[in-house]
Amino acid sequence: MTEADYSAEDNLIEVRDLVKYYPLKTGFSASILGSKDFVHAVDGVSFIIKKGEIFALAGESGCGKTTTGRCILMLVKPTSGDIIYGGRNIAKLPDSEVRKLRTKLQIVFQDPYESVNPRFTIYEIVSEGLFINGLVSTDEEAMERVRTALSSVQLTPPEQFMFRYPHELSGGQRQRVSVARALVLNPDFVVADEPVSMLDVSIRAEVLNIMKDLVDKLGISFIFITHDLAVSKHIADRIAIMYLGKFAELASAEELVANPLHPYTQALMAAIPVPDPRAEKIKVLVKGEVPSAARIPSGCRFHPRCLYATEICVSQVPEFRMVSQDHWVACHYAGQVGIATQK
Amino acid sequence: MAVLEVDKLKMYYSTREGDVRAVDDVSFTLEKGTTLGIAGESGSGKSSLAYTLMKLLPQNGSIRGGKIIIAGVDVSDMPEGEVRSKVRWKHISLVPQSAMNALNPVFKVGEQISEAILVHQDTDPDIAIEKSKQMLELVGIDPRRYDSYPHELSGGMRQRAMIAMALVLNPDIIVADEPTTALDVIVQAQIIQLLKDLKRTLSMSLVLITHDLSLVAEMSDMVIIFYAGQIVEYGSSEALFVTPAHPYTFGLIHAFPNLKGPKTKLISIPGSPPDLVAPPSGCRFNPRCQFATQICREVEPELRSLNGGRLVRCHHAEEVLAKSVR
Repeated sequence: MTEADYSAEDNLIEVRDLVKYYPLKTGFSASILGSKDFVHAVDGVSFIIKKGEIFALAGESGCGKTTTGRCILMLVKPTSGDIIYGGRNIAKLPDSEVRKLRTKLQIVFQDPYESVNPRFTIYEIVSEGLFINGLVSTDEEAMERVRTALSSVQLTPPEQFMFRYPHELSGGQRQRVSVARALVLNPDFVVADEPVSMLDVSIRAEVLNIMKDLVDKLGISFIFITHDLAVSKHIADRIAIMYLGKFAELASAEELVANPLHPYTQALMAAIPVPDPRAEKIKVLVKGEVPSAARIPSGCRFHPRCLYATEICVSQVPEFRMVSQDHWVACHYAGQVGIATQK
Repeated sequence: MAVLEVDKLKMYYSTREGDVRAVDDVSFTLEKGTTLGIAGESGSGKSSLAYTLMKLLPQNGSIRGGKIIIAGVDVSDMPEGEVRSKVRWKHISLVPQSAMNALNPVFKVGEQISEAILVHQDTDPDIAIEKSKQMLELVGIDPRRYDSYPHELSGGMRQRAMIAMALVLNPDIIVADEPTTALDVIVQAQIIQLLKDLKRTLSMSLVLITHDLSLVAEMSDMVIIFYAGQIVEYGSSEALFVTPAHPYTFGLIHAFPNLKGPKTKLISIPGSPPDLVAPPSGCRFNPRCQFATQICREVEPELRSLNGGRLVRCHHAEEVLAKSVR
């Protein structure tokens, strides 16, 4: 494939067949002979992130959503697969080249209490990346950019926050500092890994609203990693549901929530409590718990828990196929089983 | 019939900065066979309330007044020995927060359940083992798992084991403190279903303490919204979630997204929960409240009743109610 094929107009990042295995070290002999067992954290995932899009990666713990996010940023080196950004395959670039792209590809971590250095002032935290990447040479320049970044996450007036320490700020304010730290470098793309799951409900909304505003105003693309479908639906343009390292379903947020086709997506949706006591309740549509990613079930990896599994599901891996306009599902019986047919 | 009555309960922690008023003048009753949801943010004192009901307080925490009436007896000033032999686990038991990590990793799961029986009751060890196995089966764990160690069980199974342990002496009341917080949604739904089923078959009463409003809405008959150590609103689940009368409840309901229904703009509640050493004067919620006026900054509102058996601690409840009905 030539470089020219790599760039469609509004594609920011294209991920092709991304795979990340972690070796399972089982003992002394394995350490000498090399381990044969692997945890299949991400097992062949392909998708495109468009410019100015919020793309939600949703799933239960251990499904590989965080590893996917980190691979795209090259914070974790993929086992195989391509990540095309700016016409180049960054998965194949040497570390020194990846480092030059670091300002454009940023991350916001889950825990606002542990991801900022408690001994730095807010100014130092936010400006550190500017100095490391040589984007500014003087304190005055840095100050100006930090001020803009803090204002854009509504920590205003910025002067009031710049010289305070993280412990003087609330959880929501700290998480906004994390967002400002990513923004100050003018990134194209930010991975936000469960950015609101540690926050109390009353302050979640402020972080979510700010992220949405940033996408609208600055055209940044986000990958929003979350276990919470309600939050995904609220914030994202498209949602991908991950299960054991693979995509189970991918569609626009509205479509996915209104018309879930994969039995796993349906089960996830049925499991979420609804904050309305009058709402009709659907019983859980799934058995057991997520199996270990070191022993992936044969065929469809969801089949041991699926209520509709048949012979073919045990023997054949379902293809991730488009069943309607931009609605992708990996299920032999997509649209023929579950909630969709019960109506 | 009320199985639990809490009357003007106060529990403060003594610290160098002064008393932390974690539970401040709290009264409620729990009817037999019902679920009472207590919802609040971190630091609101909801877990302190749970541990006060269990009389499991750290050294610097003490009950400064009020009554906890369990099975007709006030346990608030009962000595620890008597609480342990007569009340705890027999009448009221606890499913603790992060129950997944509450099991001792070096003892077999079954042994830990048997131990709960043997500590609280004079029983033959063989009978205790038999009873523990029955309990495991009741919560959906294979009784052969009696000899498993906690690390051999998944998170959901460990949570089930903790529930089995709480049920083992047939208590009237279970206090569940964030019973599903660390679990994935599907496992969470399984645990919720288990609690609902057990509640029905054993006709037990449940105090559910959580930050998750959706969970409260789904499980509770009556709901308490807890803020800064106090009840700010009390009423039926339906009344509270459909027509909130306290600005805090109103705010919470608009602050998080709903999977079903149209996309709405989320409104965050500004600021953060107050310092319980020196709570704001007047209404404790006034610095964050969009309805606050002069009176809110000066006069602390009483918990007063609205129609339909609801209670609310707000000077402007009628105004809030009018807005939420719309």
